[in-house]
Amino acid sequence: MLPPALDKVATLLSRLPGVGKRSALRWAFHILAEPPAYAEALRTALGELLEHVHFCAQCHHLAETELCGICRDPARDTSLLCVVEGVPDLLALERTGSYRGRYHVLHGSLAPLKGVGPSQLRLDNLESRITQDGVREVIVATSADVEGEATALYLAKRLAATGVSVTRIATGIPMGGELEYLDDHTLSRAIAGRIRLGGP
Amino acid sequence: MHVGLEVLAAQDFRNLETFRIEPGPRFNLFEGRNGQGKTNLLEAVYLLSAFRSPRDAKQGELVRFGAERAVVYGEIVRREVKRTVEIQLAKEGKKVLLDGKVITRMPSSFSHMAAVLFGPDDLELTKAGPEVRRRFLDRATFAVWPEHLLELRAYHEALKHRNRLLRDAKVRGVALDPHVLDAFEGELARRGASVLMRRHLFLERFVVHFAEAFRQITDGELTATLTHKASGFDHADSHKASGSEAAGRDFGVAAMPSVALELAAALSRARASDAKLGWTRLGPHADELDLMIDGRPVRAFASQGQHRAFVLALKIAELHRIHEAHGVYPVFLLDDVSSELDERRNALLMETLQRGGGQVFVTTTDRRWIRVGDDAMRRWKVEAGVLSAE
Repeated sequence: MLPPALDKVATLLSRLPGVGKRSALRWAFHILAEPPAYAEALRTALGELLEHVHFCAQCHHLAETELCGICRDPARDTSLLCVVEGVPDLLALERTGSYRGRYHVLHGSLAPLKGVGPSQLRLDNLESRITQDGVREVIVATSADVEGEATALYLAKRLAATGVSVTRIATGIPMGGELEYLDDHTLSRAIAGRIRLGGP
Repeated sequence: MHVGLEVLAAQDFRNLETFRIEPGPRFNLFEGRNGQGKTNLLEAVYLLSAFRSPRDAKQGELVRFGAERAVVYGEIVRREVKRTVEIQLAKEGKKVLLDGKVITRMPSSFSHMAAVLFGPDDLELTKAGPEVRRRFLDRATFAVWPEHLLELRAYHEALKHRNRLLRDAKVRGVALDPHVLDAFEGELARRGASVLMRRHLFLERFVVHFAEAFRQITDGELTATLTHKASGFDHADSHKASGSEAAGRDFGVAAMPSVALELAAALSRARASDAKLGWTRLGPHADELDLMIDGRPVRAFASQGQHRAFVLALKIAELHRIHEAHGVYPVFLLDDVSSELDERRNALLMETLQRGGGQVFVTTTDRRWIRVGDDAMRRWKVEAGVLSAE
């Protein structure tokens, strides 16, 4: 039997995404085998993480103060609001540099099978943000899987009352992508989501 | 134009001893008593085609008892181009290697090798419940468009979400949030429209081949029809194998948005009654293929011989439909059904396969059932999992 403390660490680690029971145990052993300074440093870093990194009170992005850098940035277009499932999605959009509006991070997507309903998502202040900031357009940038699509539909229904325009990011052909190498599924979606170039 | 296996090999696969054989481009016969491993051999070929078991077997069941993992390997030639497919099976999961490289999704348009399996289970197609016919339809559709499987999976995922919402409301008294239900119904309807569209496109041409095959089998004495009944769409007689009734509902590509809307509306209407049940009654998961001979339901009225004729026509039509889509005949896997067909129908099937010119794998308990004028036929004996060439 494992010493209870080791068992506890391994169990906690195994909850991380992509980490199985066996590798969690390997990691726990590794932490134990390292000089004690390593575990100490880990403890301090985790403490600091809890203490200093919060979620923005407005958009729920990572923040070290009450509001995140994006919400505090006066150059941002407050009439545009982009809804994403998670912080990594926000960071990906930021890397493009082509979006200058603000964000709203849900920290998940609707998934009844996993017990995630609207109250498990960071949605409480969405409507108030829209009215207070004078948002004209909400861009829903959730993923194209069943849960992401249902979340997008849900937001469209829910926000209908606010009168704001709700749009969905496009799915289809990647830039520089050659049609013949595209999988049929993506190609079908691209056809379904075609846009008009000209004509009446 | 030809596609087929030039090499078939397996290690620790089911009860089969490690083997490596070189099948011929035409007929390949595997003879042996029951329970020796003949069906497992066809399953191995099917795996190389669809990357999954035709029997929906669990991963672990495919691995020889006592072994850690199984490997099935094939060298496929299609239009003179050779490719290798290797499937590694273990309890934890499977790995598929195409040309030595791990792939995580199905190659597009089934580009490597399509297969049609005709086994004893298929004899139930006209007799068993609708799910058997749906599976037949979806398998065959998948052989033409592999992405059908992705949409079908997404559809079932959305379906499970909706069912959970309904069940939580029924069992645990959780209030139904109409917006959340709307959202999953919308997604269910959109994926459902895509599933219906593929089934529709498949059947549109399939029924033509089917009617022709059935006419041939019965010398034109009987007329068989196959009608797609799309659940949630009343009187959706969209495909008749014969007769000239105008198609009821259009499920084609152009109609997808309106089909999705209609399905969403039907789901919305069914909400109250579904909530009482705790699950979703209507939708593509409840579709049916209505089978008739001379206007009478096959299930209730057909004779044993007519059941067999119907199934045979379905399988021949499947072969032709896939050929039409890919331009090459799929590999045909015939699992010991010749003993179930009479001499004339047997001859007709063999003739069809011979004319097609594709690769065929046949198992039988007695080779006298298989009469093919093929001098190049290769033969193996299967005994207690051991293959031996003749």
